[in-house]
Amino acid sequence: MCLALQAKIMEVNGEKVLADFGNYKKEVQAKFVKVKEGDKVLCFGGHVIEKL
Amino acid sequence: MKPPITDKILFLKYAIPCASTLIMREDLTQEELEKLKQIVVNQEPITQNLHEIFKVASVMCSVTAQDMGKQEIDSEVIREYFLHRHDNAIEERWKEKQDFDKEKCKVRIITLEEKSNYKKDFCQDAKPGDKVVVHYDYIVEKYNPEWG
Repeated sequence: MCLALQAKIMEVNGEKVLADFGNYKKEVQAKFVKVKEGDKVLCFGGHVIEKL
Repeated sequence: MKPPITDKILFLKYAIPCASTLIMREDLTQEELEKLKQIVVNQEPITQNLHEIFKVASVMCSVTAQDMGKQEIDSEVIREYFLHRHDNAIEERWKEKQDFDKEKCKVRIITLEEKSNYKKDFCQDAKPGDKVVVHYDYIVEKYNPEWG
């Protein structure tokens, strides 16, 4: 989907989550998608776009 | 005189130009894309779920609306995202993976030249000398300096 990249949620701290993109980890925001540790998601622009 | 376009039509004008990526990834068919283009050109009512089709743009506009203290994605939100935030997101995405044409993906404000290859489907009255917003190979709309 567009330019979103797949990642796995490593940690959840409110709306801030740590996502593992494979070769790097990055903090992103999950403002409109409820996620939990272990979820596979698509991210773009520092935000979780959708849960896979 | 044409009526003012709806916010959903404006969203489509900005989102459709990069839909070729969605077709490439089989998230959208060419037929579905042509229908969406027709909706914009004829300003037809929209029955499709635009959030499902353009999830990235939809979520990013929702984030922008929230930042602006708005409940709805309106024209101000759409332009704030695409004109002021979109290109930064594209730059950040490029740093992570260089698998797309970064420059074509950016939303630009240009002065239209006499010989232009940009598609005028969404802005048919654009003429040389006009300041317009372009995304990929489409003229999205005429630029208004009051948008900032």
